[in-house]
Amino acid sequence: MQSLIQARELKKMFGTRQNPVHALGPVDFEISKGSFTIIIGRSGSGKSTLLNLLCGLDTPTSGELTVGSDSIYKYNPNKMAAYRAKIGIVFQAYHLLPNLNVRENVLLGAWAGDTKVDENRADELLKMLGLEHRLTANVKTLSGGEKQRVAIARSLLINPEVLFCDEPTGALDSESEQQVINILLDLHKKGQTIVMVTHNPDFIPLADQVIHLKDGIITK
Amino acid sequence: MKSTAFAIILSRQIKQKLARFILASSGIAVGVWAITLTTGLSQGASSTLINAINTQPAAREVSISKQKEAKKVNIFDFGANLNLVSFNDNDLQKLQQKYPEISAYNPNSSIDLSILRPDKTFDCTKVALRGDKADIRTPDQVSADITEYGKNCISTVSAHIRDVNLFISGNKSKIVGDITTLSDTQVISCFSCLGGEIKDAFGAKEPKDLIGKQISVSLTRGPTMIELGKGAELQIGGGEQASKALNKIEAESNITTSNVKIMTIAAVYDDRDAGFFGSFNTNFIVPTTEVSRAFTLANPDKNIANYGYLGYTVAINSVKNVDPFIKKIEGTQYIGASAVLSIIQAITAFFNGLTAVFAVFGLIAVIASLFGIINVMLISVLERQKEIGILKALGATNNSIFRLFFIESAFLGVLGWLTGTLIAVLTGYGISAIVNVLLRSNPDVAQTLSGFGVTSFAPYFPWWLLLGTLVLSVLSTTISGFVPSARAARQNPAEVMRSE
Repeated sequence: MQSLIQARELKKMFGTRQNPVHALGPVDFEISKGSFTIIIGRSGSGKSTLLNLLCGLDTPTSGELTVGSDSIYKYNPNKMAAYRAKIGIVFQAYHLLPNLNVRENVLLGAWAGDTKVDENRADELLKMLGLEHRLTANVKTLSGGEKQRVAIARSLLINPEVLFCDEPTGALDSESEQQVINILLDLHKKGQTIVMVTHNPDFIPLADQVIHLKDGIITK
Repeated sequence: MKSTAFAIILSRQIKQKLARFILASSGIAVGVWAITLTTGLSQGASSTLINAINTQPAAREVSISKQKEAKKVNIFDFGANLNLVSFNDNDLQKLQQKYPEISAYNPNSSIDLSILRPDKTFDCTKVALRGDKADIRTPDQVSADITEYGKNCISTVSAHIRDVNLFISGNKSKIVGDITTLSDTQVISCFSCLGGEIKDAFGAKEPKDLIGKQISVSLTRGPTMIELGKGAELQIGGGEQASKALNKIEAESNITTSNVKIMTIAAVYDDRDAGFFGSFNTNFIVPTTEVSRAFTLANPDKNIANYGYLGYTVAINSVKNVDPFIKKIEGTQYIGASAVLSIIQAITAFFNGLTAVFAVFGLIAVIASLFGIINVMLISVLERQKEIGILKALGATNNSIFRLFFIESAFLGVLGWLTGTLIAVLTGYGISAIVNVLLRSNPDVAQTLSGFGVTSFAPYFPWWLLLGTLVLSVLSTTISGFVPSARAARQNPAEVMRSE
């Protein structure tokens, strides 16, 4: 498969120069287009730090990340924002805006990055995810599973090049967890590149590629 | 970020935090209220006063003088020399052709008349003249003269020799009777003037009762006229020096007496409700032919055509043309001055000064509120870190985040302005309603004011005031919101979302 993302010597330190805290790396890996990659590790292993670097939400201390043909850490802030507008991110804590209703939260996926989309697609996605009856509902009234499905719809609205998921089932009951995993598997079947961070080893058989992290280092 | 998103996020934010928005903008509202109310009231008072003054005949009158040589003169340059020469109706006719806004003109001069009470035979003139030389007579003689004078004569009247048209153009509604043709044996009389001596002498109850009455008049002082081209060198604001120069000219024009002449009251000026400016314009008015009579009596060997006056009053066709006319004749031989215009300028300056003083208090309130706005905006940024992170994660640029908070701070300014302006307008009209009730509760005051065209008082909120306070409010809050907005824009999305 065609390589989409290449990480080279990616390293992230927190803290001060005098008291540095090693969070990640250096790590090297590749992610292929259309693959389902799982980044797995215990709490504190650096998996969320790695995902933040992949999503362009944070910058590494050193190393390079190439997406397509561009080294994204060379981007200026506006170009980095444009990169984030092209990818989809699903968070464990959903990160929906409580002041907006379900449909508006989904549309925010396009509004925030000023991406042109047919707004009817928001309705189609919500229908596909079984939320067509909650279009104008306040997100505060939704269950955890419903909130995560809204977040997935938001990330899919722009037809993202890659869908990054940070513990998407971490806050869900088992029924909702299964629903979300089924949705992701469906998307993967349709060719969507997915990178999912999890600490749950049950999901390993679902992935094309697994990156095991321990203390910030890839172990397998 | 799409403008739809800006609008939705901002509107939901306002809806949710309306109380905080109102509180945060209250300082701005108080400042705007103070500035708008005080300016609105002082502008209202100023325009009411100026409109009242402009209803008076004197508002359209300009005093003009002629200089020996064309020169630009600042009439407020006290102490500067003015070399004035006399001029007459021929000069005014030429001026009127050049400046058609001059609707009428009259010399600034008067003659003194002694008027005999009806049905009396007595030489009032002689007694009046003897009275002037009281120092060479015994007190008893003087007392006897005064007694006789009072019994037989009406006080000496200073009669304007104005053109009748100028008077009509001033305030036609105050004229009772027909004065379209004022012959050389007709006068216009005042009604309530001279302590009511005229109306009492004829037992008149209404101004019209005086029309057609005949009065016996003698000239006791003629018009002040000097040979054309000759004049006086005066100092602007020269006081005693100027008075002496003018007295000298006046002394040369004095006459001692004239024969009694019977004149008919052709019209009456209704001065019953005249205020200060009104009474100033009311008096006896005699036809210009009286000038010739008085001049010939005083100067039997001279030709009046070779004589003129040091000043004329011209009536301008509209109040709004007064100032432009004065400016137009600047730098020519003629100098124009309007006492009313000077008063209006002084009133405007006074109220503008008053407004500025009150506006300072409003500005202090606005400045004090800025710290509150900064605080509220910083809290808002802190509270909404997650929102900032989400928007950035979804592709919002730093600039979009800055704009989102910047617009929010601008909204605080608009809200403060709207609240302050609304309350100021309501308070302004409330105060004016109370003032109007108080004014109307006193019929005498109400009648006097209506004589000046004032029927009610209302505040005036000009467009520049509303625009100015809006700019001030928005500028204040956006300046206050700049640092918090910039801080919001600089947030690292990973950090703020990790803090959740």
